[in-house]
Amino acid sequence: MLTISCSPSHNAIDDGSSSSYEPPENQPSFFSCSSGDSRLPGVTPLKKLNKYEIENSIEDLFGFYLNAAEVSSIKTQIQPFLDAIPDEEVEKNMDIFDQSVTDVHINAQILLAEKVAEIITGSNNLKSKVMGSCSSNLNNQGCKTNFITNFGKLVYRRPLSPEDINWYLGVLNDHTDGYENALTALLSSPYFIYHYEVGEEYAQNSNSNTVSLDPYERISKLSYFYLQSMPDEALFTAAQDKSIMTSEGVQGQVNRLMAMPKVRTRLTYFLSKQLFKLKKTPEYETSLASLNSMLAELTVTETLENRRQHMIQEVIDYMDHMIWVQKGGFKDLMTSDLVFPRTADLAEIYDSPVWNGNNNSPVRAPAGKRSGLLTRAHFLFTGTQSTRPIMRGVHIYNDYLCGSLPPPADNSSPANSVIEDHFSEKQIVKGITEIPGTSCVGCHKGIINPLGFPMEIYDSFGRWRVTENIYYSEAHANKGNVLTTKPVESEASLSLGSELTFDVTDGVDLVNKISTNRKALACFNSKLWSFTMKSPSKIGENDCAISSLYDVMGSKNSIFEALKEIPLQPEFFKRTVK
Amino acid sequence: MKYDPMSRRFFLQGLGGSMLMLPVLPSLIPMAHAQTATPEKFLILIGSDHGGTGIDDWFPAPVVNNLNASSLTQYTLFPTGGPNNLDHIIRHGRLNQMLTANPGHAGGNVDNGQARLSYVLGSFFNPFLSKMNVFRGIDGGMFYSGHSNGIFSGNLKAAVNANVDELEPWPSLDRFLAGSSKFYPDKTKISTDVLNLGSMSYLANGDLVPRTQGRISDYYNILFNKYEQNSTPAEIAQREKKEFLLDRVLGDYNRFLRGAHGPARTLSSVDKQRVEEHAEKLHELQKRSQNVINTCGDVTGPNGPNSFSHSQVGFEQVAISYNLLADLITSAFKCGSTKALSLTLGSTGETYSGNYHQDIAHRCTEPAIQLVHNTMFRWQAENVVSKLVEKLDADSIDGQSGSILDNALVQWTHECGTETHQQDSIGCINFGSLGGHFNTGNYVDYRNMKNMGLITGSLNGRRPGLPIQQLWANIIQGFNFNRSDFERHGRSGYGDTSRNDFPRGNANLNRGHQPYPSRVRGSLSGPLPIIKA
Repeated sequence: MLTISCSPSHNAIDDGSSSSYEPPENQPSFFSCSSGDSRLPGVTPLKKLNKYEIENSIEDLFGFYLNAAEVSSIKTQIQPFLDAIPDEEVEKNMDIFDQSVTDVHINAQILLAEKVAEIITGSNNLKSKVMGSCSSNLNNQGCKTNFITNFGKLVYRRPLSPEDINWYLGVLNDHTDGYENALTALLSSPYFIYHYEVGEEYAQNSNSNTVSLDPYERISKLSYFYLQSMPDEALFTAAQDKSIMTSEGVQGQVNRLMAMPKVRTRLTYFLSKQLFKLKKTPEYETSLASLNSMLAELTVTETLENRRQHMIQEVIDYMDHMIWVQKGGFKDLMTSDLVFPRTADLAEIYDSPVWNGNNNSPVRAPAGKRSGLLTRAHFLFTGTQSTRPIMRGVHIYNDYLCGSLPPPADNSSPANSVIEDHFSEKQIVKGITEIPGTSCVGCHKGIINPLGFPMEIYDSFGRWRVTENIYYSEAHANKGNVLTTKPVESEASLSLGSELTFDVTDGVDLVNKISTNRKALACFNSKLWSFTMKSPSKIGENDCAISSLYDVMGSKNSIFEALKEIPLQPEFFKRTVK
Repeated sequence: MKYDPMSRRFFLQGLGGSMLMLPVLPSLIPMAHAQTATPEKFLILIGSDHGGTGIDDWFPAPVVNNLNASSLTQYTLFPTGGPNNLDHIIRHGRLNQMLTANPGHAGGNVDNGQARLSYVLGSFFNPFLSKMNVFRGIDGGMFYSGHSNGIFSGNLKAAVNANVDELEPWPSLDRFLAGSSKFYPDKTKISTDVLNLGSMSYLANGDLVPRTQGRISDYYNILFNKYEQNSTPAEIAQREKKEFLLDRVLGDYNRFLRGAHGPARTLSSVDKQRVEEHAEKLHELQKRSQNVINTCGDVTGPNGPNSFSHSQVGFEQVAISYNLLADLITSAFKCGSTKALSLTLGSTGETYSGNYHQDIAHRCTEPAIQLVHNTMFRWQAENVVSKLVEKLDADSIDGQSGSILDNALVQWTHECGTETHQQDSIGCINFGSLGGHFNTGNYVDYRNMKNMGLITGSLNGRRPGLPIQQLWANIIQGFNFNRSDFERHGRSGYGDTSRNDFPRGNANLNRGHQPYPSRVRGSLSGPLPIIKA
């Protein structure tokens, strides 16, 4: 177990003075954090609500007024409008970094707002619940003011100023569809669309480079981190009485939020999605005879789309169990042999029983055959008969070691490569990428291949194997049939710097060694911090913040506890504006 | 134009109901027309009620003083062909040689001593002499007698006259063009095929298209918001609601940029830029929801009373409204929102408080009354026609040579000739050459002075000229149509040409002279002499 000495004052929210942070004596050498270094990400403009946040915010907004069935009905009706909002997407990084706002976004948001307003004002029942007494007294000016004030506060996530109230009263009064227009305008407001984080100090001192969030901005930051949604009533109270400005107040809210089932569901889902890009499972190359032969080996018939969804769900279930049930740390995440196949098709891949969905009775994979995240079917599945060890190696290096590989100088096979039909996958890859003197050998032999070859113990579906079927080529008359069978060759030697130099026997061994690796832990924490701040945080650039979280993870050895500690980091309620 | 959140980008923005006091600036509108091999051409039809201007105040003075002025060039239209085919010689001259200072006119020195063509065709037309044609001897059909706006536009059947029952309905010129893919290859790209502000727009079945009611701001909405003129009230209400909503949302972003929660909480520059970019896209959405055609840039809406009713707002404001209309239509032409305008002026500009039709129009031969009558026509000429011409001539379509006027045909037609209820020598003036299709700068007198086949013979020099159907046919061909596109029943000309008699004075169809012999009626799709290039 990794032991890292704690750095001081993780229980106090300091005033942002970075000089109070002292890096620990045994800080890993790949961190470069000195006293006085900035702990905040660089300048980023106001962040828009992502699609998931919009969906949840609307759900929770009307949750203040309506019962679960009514909210669910609204969600069903607005789903096509939510779907019309473009998905965030960033290649090779978290999709939440996608802050693009195109005309498609704008149009979709307006249409969504219109639809929501139309639904509410189109139903006497919903109108009476959302507008209260105003629904029967629509022309009463006091009634209108109250509605704008109260509903507007929820939409804005802060109280409206008198100017705001007058503005929306104007919208409400100036047209026959006043309430519908006011609802639409509020849900289209920049206060709703964007995470309003302007802070107090900047207003008073526009020379300041950073801002500290005010009470309402704090509760929003907190709620969108945990709930992936707008603040609830307790958070609004905490802002109003300013208890959120104290560490005890924050701690109390964090403890409360982390006990909420809704937080568990949403945070796990979204964190998993951002960390692992769960939508990126490849398509089947169904034209390949060899792949079809492999599919024929499976006893459980299932559509490709369902298989993919089942694999994604299993990752989420795995993360949920690790974080919330087992309250495990990084090592547990990387090494657990628990599997969570809810369906027979995935259970067949894991050679395990089907999981019944009860966290008190998790399922284990056969001994020694699964180890944590990297051995989930979702990450192993390639869509072809090839295991693609190069892509698996790149995935591990980039996503688990925070490495950065340059694009291939030339991805064509070298002229002097010799590939035989009977070659195993490893032999083929070595034969192409490890020819001395070529431009490929540096990255492949030194980095990619040693990370990918150990994973050869899993076939292209993610099934454990000890032998490898080598199929006739697709150009051969016997395509789809097995040419020969060879033992899997999964040994490799890593030499990735002082922290990552060791031999491995297979993928399980590789993952076990990575799980105790400081750089891998630091990488995981950098991703966690990126998720927190919705901004890329890299080792070598944001070391003070990442190393602080690294210390927390090391000391607590629990992702659950680390998630609770995050808002206590001094940077959490700050933002760089210039 | 760089986006500026505090400027005219929010020209529709509520801000408590205020609108920016900015004029329409057609010159700032980028070229919107697709680059096509065929240059764009435009039509404006203007119709004035009554006619009856008398020759003195209408035609250029030199030709008034001498009906056969030797300064005019003669041109033989048809050589003699016997008793019923008298040689038909016409006369023409250059307008810029016909200017006369006429301070002694009963109307006073209204042009401040400047030379002009006539009292009605005042000095305000002087800058455009080279681009206009003044006609005499364009006759209103074989039997036309007035009380119809069809004379303005091509449908002679539209007359309060029993004698027209046998006529075929024809689409008015604007409707003929609007209904053709040659004129509008893609109607999805326009706001309206004809901005119909008159009572002269007839469909092919003869139905009158109701005039678009409203003020300039309404016409602005039509031209730049793609409102279908036949939208249901529910559709119009929905569009208005969306426009209102987007306007308010945009206003909300403006407030946010001005200072969240007031001046004390200003945004950083990066945040401002972020929100500005969002607002910019919102603005684009607003324009698209209004279906502003071809990125017409910032065509701001009109301000002011923009009413055409002088009884409501006074003549000065009405003049402003027509000035705005000139801006608006020029912008619309430039933007591609439309290519045709129909405008009936009626008696706009008249100050008489009684029954104008009976007391003035029908007594317009009395000098004092004629002054009143022609003062009205002068007001129309100065405040409507010349403004349109001026604005069209001041702008151009990118990629096309000449001004918009050079590529247009503005036709100002009166209901009757120089005497009310008389159909010969209909008041008719054209502006623009339709891209060089017409020669301009001419006074052309198409009358056949030897033909006595009209009522009362030679009274006041009234002679038959050429049927207006020939002018219409030439106009349509100027828009690149062939005669086969409009001719019917083997007869030439545009409009019904089946009748060749006169409802009045049939008994005077005498002396063996047919007002319009077959050689005339057989040439009605042929080039109009002198003006056809």
